[in-house]
Amino acid sequence: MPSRRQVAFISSVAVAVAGAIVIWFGAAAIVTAVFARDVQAAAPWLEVGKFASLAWVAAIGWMFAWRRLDEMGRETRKFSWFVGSTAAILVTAPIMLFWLVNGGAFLAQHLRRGTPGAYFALGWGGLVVAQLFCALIARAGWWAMKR
Amino acid sequence: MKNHLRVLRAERDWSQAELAERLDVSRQSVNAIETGKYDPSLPLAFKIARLFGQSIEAIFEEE
Repeated sequence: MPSRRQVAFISSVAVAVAGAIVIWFGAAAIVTAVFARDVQAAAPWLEVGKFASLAWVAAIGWMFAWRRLDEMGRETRKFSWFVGSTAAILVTAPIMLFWLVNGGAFLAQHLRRGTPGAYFALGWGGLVVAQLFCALIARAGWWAMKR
Repeated sequence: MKNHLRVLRAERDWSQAELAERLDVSRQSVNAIETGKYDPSLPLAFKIARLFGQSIEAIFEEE
């Protein structure tokens, strides 16, 4: 007989997988119906469908992980994300100013085949990486204080 | 906030892990509460008080 936690884990995985399949194939069906044979126009929307299904899996996983945490674990994460995210925004702000002043030329020189979309993704990804890094440092600091 | 959790636990011969399991929290949380580095929420304080059959004020006291 599986325990309550095991049942919760299995149901979460089932909901995540079923939802992802429905989103992925549902999006594909809608996009195909709307764009008919225009493969080029349909391509970005199919990608959005794929990422939406992955985002669904990530969201379910995130909710499940959150529910498993005890109150101190939740407080640790609230603290580390608040401090880490704020620090990341402050740390990346000067970099953004650099891009505004002379970043275009720098990017054009170093990423010759870059598209505006790739630059946007680079900016988003950079902020995410900075947030993860700063949150990790904040969490280490929290544990050092609380141990 | 000071507390007598370590003494109460020792009286029952429970390890931190055992107490954590009874309270449905992590062992690290029990350790942090015992050392006064983390103050539990009111629901958890009530849970602790119920587990040891004492009032919250008997277990936790202001520094």
